[in-house]
Amino acid sequence: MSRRRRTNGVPPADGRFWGREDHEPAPASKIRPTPDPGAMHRSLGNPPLAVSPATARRHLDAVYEEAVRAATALAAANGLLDTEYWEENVPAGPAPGE
Amino acid sequence: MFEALSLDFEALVATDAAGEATSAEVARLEAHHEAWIATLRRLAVDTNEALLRARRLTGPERDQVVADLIDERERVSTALHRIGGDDYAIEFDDDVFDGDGPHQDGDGRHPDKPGLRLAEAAGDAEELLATGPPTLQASWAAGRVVLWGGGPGAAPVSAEALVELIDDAGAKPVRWELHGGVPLPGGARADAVTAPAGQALGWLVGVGSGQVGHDVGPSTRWLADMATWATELVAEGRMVPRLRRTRSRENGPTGSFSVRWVPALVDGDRMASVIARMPGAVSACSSSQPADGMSRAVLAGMVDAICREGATRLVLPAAPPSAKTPVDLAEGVLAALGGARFDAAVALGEDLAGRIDRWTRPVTAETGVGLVVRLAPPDREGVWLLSVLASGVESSLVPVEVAMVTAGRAKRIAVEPQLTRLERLYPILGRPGGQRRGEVALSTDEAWTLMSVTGPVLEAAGFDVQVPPLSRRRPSPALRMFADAVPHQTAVGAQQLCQVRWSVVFDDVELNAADIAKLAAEARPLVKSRGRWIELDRADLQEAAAALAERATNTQLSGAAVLRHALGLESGVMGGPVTVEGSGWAADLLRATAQPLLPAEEPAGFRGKLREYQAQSLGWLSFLDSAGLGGCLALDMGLGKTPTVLAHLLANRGDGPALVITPPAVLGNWAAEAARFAPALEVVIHHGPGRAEGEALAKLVSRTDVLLTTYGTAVRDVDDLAAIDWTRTIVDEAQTIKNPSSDAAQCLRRIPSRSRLALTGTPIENGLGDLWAILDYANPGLVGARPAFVSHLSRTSNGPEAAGEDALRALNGLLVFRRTKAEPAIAAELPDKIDQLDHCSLTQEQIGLYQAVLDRLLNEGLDEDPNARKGQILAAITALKQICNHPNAYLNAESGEGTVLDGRSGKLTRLDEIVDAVFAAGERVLIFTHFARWGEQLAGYLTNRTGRRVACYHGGLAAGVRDRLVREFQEGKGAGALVLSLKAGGAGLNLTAANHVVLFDRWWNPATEDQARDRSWRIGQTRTVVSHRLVCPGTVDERVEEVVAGKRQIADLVLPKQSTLADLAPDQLRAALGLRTDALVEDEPTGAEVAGRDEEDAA
Repeated sequence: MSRRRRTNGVPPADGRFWGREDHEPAPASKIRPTPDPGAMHRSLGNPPLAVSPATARRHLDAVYEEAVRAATALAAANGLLDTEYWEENVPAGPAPGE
Repeated sequence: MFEALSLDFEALVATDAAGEATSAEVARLEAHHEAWIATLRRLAVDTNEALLRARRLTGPERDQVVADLIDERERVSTALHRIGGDDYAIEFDDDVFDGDGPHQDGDGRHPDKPGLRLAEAAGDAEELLATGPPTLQASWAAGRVVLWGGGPGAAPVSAEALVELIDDAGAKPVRWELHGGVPLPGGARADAVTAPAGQALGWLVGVGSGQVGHDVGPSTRWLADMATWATELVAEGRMVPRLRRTRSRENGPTGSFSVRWVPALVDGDRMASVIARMPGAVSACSSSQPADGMSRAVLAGMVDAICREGATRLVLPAAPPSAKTPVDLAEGVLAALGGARFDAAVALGEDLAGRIDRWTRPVTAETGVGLVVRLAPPDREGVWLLSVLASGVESSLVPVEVAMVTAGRAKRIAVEPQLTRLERLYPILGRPGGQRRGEVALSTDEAWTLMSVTGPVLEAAGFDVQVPPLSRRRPSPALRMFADAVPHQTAVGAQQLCQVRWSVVFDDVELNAADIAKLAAEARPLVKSRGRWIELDRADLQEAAAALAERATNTQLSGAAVLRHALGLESGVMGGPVTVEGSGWAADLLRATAQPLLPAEEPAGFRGKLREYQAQSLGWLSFLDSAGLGGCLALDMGLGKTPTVLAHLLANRGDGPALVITPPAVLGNWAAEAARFAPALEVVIHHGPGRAEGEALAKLVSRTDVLLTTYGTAVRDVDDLAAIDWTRTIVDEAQTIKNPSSDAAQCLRRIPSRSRLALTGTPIENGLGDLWAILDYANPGLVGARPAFVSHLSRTSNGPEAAGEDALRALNGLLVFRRTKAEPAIAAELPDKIDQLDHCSLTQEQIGLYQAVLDRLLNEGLDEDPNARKGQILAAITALKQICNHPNAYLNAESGEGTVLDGRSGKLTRLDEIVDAVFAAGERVLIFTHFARWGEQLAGYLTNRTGRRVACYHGGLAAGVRDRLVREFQEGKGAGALVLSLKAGGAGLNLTAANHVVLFDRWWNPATEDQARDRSWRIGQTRTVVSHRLVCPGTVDERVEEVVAGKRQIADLVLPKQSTLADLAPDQLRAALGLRTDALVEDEPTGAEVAGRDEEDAA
């Protein structure tokens, strides 16, 4: 017989349920936004979509860029941005693989 | 109606369950409440069936498919709970997959649906853990965050208390909605609120970063950590899209699909860690969810929420109404990248979903295999070798080509797609000519591009990039000179000759002309500095080459020239301070100044304690002596230059005579301070009609340590003074000689001295030319010509004020010792207030008037009536005090005569000096007098002289006007002055904008003067207040000063014995009020006046 059948839908009342109050997670590491948001999907090659690769890439690039931007803003607003690295790693030339 | 509604209605139900329904759509659902609940129950059962099927799948995507379906199922069940309450709660029992065997009927489980059980009321509640107060807890329920309050041993909190917990945690800005409640251990149910993950993310990341919610419970903290991780993944671009059917139970040919974003290249160890510490409370709303699946679902849900949020800023094309061809489907996917749903042929859609899964598999499958891109430093030929290594295949890194041959099948299969990915991003790896796959030789240019541009991109795509460290900082070139004293020469000090060699340094990299030429010829000039590779700027290289070429023949310099180069006072390409190394007078000097200046101890016999900066000043004065240099001691007004110099003179007593030249106003102060701090010094005042001349002066000086004189006397007696061989000459208030062509400046240069020291609180009043004049006096010829000095020191500065500060900073510790009250370390040492007594001269006009008033009083006869006689005497005292202030203060009061003020009063001259210094520092000063009409004249005079409006605050003004004057003065910025009558302005006002106070005349009661000073020195004042009391020695002014100082009583002044005013004899009155010529400081031309006379002569 399973445990849940015994507890009849009520969660178990042990330390695993509440977690440890005294658990101190490691301080959040500083976030380094990618200098090239589209690198991930470009590394995978052309997506299996029945449109021209350039069209697919353009759409994906746009969403990746905005998503990275949103995450970067979230990190910056909460002091999680590794600003030093960010300032030093803006790519100066064309993105590789293009 | 229900049938007619079914298709549309079910889509609406699913939309609401996903939290995407509009209020109009919710209203439509509310209108069919029963059908809504029934549809949700059917969706829950169907989704659970799909989940059962998915759990039997194999392959790498199984985990994600299961997590997706669990998510969908939870979404539906949460909605059912929310709409129907506990009566319709559903619990899914995933233990059926734990190998427990088939379940029995009769336990509440759906009769035909294993793994699904309708909820029942909680029965035997287990005992709660007895620890801790309730804290804010968070659960995850199908893409939504649910907040509630509770903790082990504590009852769940009420809705009101939950609001407080939410407020305390900083989560109030999130739009929380009521939730049906969260089941807890023991059978209790906690009041709860919920919000879509996308709305709660900002707050959760704030908790994860430690900015808010310090007291939240472990479940909330866990979700916050997951939110931070999701943010990190998306910021790094580590996510890929997936295509999923949104309602998998539909059997028709057309289905609803959506794109969801899932994390890629997830760190397996980190995932294992979060799974292990996930509190069960996180899945309190879906207790069937195992920690593994819940953790993945939470991370995926948060990643998806961030990506959707980002995509809302895009205008994506509209999806085809119903995709029936591959092209339509592709367009539908691209249009739905922001998370929108679209309809498509089921077979076509599921086929594409599978192909997208396979496309993304290299970054979603947790294989444990990774690639390392390693760039080795260049060999002797300048070739950089790049190699790709595989990790996770063997115990150590192996070349990727070796891994693909020697590793087991699974690892080989995992390595190949990673290498393919890498080669797509970095095509140079596929360049023909390499010895093996994954190895390539790079040029310097390519290596730099990899280190600076491509490396971070490859890292973002999940590769471990190991390149030599680089620095993006552009190193600034600076000239370096190596000086070596020419052997066997007789010249010493500034005249000593040195052989010099030039080079240019970029950080710690020293380059000669040949090195620079070689680097300039390279495609990318890289050098290794402090263990990091840096790229040199071509323009910098060209400039460095030109600078070295220009100095190629400049191989022998005097010590003075070397010093000028070091101070940036020489012209040429790459002008500016030059680093000097080697040996010789200048190099040794510069090396000594590079060391921290050690404070010197007070010499034996010095009565007092020097402050730390004064002790440092004393150390600097010794350094100047040892280097044979003159200098400028530029301590701010009130910081105690006089005691410092007296300590230096005392320490060097016996070296030879010192000449101190001061303005008349501070001559007496010097004598008084010498007697106070260094009584062992033989000090003689050389001033006045009875002063020594010629041989007598030389004889006097031979048995004197310090001769004090004024600028005017020094100019008059320059021949006699120039005949004496002085060890030291000290000029106080050295701004007096800022005009180098003035008579005073020219005459003083004629007086020979082993060293010269200039004292001033304002070394730069009008520009760098002032500083040059002072330094050129202290060290003739050393700092070069005036135009070059001014232009070089102002070259890199932004404006004249900055140029002055920069110059003082550049020369500080060498030719200048500058300290200001604004420096925190100095301010900390200073008392809150500094009282300074300034002795002022009387002009001939003042002496004449003074004598006349006194004579009139005594000659015209005193009244027989004691009261009238007393009135006569007090009126005379008032008149004498007015005369000490200024002839106009008396004449104007008596007859209204006199309009020109300048040059007719020693006190006014001293006030000018104080105001100049205060204004030069951008500070503000209060000037008190107890003669209101004189105060008005003074305010007008200062307005005309300074160009700034100076008002007079006195009792004759309307209250509103007085308030405005105080407000304007307090709110004013920068330099400013306000004249106040002692009676009207001496009490009650708050004038903390000023940190200087001048008591232009004295009052009998010291408390009155203290009250005046305390207008500035009071609560709100953050700086040291310097108070100047102006006194004319030898006059009634000094008698008042003695009264104020407590040395005598008023009665002693006017009534030497136990008698009345009526008893005072004329000779007694003359003794009490008359001029004491031995103490009198007579007026003399100042440096400025002498300069003015020179100009008139020239005209």
